[in-house]
Amino acid sequence: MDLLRHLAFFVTVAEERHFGNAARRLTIAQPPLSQGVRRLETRLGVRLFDRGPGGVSLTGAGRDLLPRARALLDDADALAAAARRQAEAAQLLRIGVVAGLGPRVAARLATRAGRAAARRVALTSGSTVTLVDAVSVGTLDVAVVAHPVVLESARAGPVVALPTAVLLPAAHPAAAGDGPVALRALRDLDLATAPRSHAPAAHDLLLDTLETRGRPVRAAEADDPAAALTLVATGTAFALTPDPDLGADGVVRRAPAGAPLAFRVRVVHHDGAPPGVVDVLADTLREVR
Amino acid sequence: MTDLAGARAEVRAAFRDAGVRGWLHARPVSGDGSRWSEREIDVGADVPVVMGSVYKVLVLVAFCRAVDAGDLDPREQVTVEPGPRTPGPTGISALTDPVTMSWRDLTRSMITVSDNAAADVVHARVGRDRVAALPTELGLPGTRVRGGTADAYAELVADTGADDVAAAFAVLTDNDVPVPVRLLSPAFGSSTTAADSTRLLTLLWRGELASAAGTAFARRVLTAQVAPHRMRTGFPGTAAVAGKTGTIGAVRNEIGVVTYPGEHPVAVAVFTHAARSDATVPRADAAIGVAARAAVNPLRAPAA
Repeated sequence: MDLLRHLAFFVTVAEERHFGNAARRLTIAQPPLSQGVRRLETRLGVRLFDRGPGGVSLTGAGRDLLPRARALLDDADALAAAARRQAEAAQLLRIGVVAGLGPRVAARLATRAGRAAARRVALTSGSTVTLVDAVSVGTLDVAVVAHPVVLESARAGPVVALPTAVLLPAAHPAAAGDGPVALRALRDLDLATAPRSHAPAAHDLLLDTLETRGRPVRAAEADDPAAALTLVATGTAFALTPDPDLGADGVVRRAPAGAPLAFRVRVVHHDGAPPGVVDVLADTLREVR
Repeated sequence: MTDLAGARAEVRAAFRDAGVRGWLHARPVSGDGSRWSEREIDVGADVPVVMGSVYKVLVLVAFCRAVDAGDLDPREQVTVEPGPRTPGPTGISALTDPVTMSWRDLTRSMITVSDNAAADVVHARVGRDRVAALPTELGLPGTRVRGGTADAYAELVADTGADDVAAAFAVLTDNDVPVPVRLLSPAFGSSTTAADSTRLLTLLWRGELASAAGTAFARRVLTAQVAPHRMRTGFPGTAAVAGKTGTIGAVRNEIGVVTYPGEHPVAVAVFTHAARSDATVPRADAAIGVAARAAVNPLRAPAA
């Protein structure tokens, strides 16, 4: 016999105190309902209901067993829900994108990756270090992070060098005109950038590169792109961004003079990442301008 | 043992902050020979790692044993011609003309300035098979020496598709194009583990690998190593730091023995692989000192 089904009969009849109403609620006919309850009583070896002319009432045993029956049914529902979540997770691509790339690029990356994997996508935005850790422990399938980075146990995919634009205060003398901005002209400004702890190696490489190009900088930590924009808009810092959309009132966007300044990103992935996703992400990154 | 757990956390934090993956082992060189200390610091100590020039310590041990056995006269003069000499930035590798010196001075140059050319001729003289057999003889199950520096460079040139060693290293240091090369994988080249490395140094320091004279020579040349930028940065001037570095692209290593006056020496091995490919990453060098210091301090004890 189907114990869970018959327990559901028991609970419904107990709530309705009436076989006809219970049958309607269960959308079955009354005879199989009555038969199911009788079978349950036989199996349990106790009578659950007193059937009188005025209706149905619980016996003492019935009252005692009712909460346990409800608990079993609730557990069964929870089991089914957990199984459903597991099944959905297998249909889900969990992707991380480093916050610096901006929402439009991140959404495009996630959309294309999801299409390539034929799965729904869940996008996480965060720091490079946390995303690599998440891929390492398997809570993300794939991520686009700043390069260079210590990979822990994540698998290494291709590196793509994205060009960056200079964001500077509109009131700054170097903002006059439309041409590229020489980094040396920004001497009085700090560099608004993600905290070093978000990606130590990439952070150090950027500062070393600027120093090599004649523009040693002090880094002003900005937890996210909005914080960086604020530092720029208030005239204390400039920023370098690969995000084609990033901007704000009082902030001017210019190309850097001389050789492009790269924001290097790397696709890192978990062993179980669906095939093709890494290549699609790398191809999509190469289109970012 | 919270001080040891704390030290492990400190070591991991030093690696993370420097942007490197790291593996470390440290243990005191104490006891009466058969007794091993139970106190140790282990951060991935049994994971296979790329050796780089750290393998030269095994050549040094093989050299001392060959001298002890009477197979080799350490004073014999040998001339090394420039043509077939292994390239490198230091020692006779960096010179232009034929060089004549004794076997023991070649050995000294191999260790103190990591002279690649000297290492390859000493390695050939003591016997590649003898060096290859040493790890098994000494009970270092995670250690393999496959060829010398010249062989490693030949592989590097092949893997990078470059014309010569200098061009190959240029490819290796490009942050835009990470190249998978055999030299940077412990599965292919010479490899060891941090725990094997401290065992080797401990046995050497206790005099169990060579005669008293040979041991003294080996300890002297390791103490004379000229490498102020890694392990040495972690310790004050009063501490003697004997060691041998190893470097290939993003791989930076040093194994050594740190001795404070009046204390037991502590053997420590640090192997790192940086995220950045740049030839020079001072933070990664310094992290070796920071990690070594964090590991050595809780193991220090007065000599009985």
